[in-house]
Amino acid sequence: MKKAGLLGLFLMLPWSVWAADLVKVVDPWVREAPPTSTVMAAYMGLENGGQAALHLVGVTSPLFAKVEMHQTVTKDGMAMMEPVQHMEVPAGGKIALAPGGLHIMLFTPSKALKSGDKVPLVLQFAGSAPQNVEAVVRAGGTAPAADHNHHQMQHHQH
Amino acid sequence: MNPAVRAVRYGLLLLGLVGIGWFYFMGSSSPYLPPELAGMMSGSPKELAPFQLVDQDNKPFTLESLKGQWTMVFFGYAHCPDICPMAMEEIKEAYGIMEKKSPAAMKNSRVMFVSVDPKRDPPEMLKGYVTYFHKSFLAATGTEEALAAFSRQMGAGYRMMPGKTAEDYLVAHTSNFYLIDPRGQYVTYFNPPHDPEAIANKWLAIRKAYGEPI
Repeated sequence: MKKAGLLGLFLMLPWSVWAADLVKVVDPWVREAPPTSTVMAAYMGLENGGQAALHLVGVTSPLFAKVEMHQTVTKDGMAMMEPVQHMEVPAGGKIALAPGGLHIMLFTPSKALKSGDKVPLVLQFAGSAPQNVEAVVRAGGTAPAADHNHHQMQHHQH
Repeated sequence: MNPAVRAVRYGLLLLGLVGIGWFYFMGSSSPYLPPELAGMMSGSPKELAPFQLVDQDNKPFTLESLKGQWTMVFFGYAHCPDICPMAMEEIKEAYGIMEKKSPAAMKNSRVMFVSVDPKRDPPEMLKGYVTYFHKSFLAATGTEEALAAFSRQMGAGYRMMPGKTAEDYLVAHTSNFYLIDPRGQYVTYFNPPHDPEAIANKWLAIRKAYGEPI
């Protein structure tokens, strides 16, 4: 029993160390949704301290039926969400998933989520072990102040 | 009488009658624009044509429902996790600023979320959606035809974008706010990025110019 536990710990260790080194996740949060809504959005900053660009290729969450990566873009005065296949975090750089720009769209929560609740997310970067993130549900949230001068969010802007 | 002179006289008479008719026609239908607003807006207020929507209580919402109230309208849809709640938070903030600055203005200033996605957003669902942001916020939706006719009058646009499944479509839409005055005239719009303070100040300035309590 004890051996198995140690073995488990041993097996987990390298993975968690890699995951921690891979990308620094800053302030992950999920916008609290109106009670009748079945979709939510997750936001966070992603910082890559490494020498090579990293590509976020998928996100899952045990609390949601489906998760997609989206970007809000404005074209001809119309705002729309476009699914994105991957999000690139440049080597030594960072990107912001923020209101009005890149975000993670969460479909159909398995239970009502309120401010303060935790949402486990699993980030899958290409060629790496899955990285676990715990986002917190928060109410409110408008576009970041720095982005108020931009009609359109840039992919690599923060 | 010389037939040519007679023709000219009749012609002038006819022209005069047409002119008087035109004067009355324009006089009766020309929108009311407070002079102070001339420099603040791109055009004159525009009378809206009658329309038929339903509100969050499943009651008819028509041109008559706009009378006596200032209505700030946003066109969106509830299956929109980013832009729509962000815009609703922004207008909630603007509304909160107005509540602080001018309690008198709140007697007839309201916000309405119009869902352009009636298939997924029935009135009872919209009620829970808008009242989450503010207990006084209204919602409306309608048939595709009614929504198109209503939104087009203010230049608001939207378009369904096919998704992976039939239930999964996304909706592209203008993320402006559109202000309608208590006469049922479309006054002006506010385009993003939205500044809640600026929206509140302009809304109050417009109300003041109309002689409305602020």
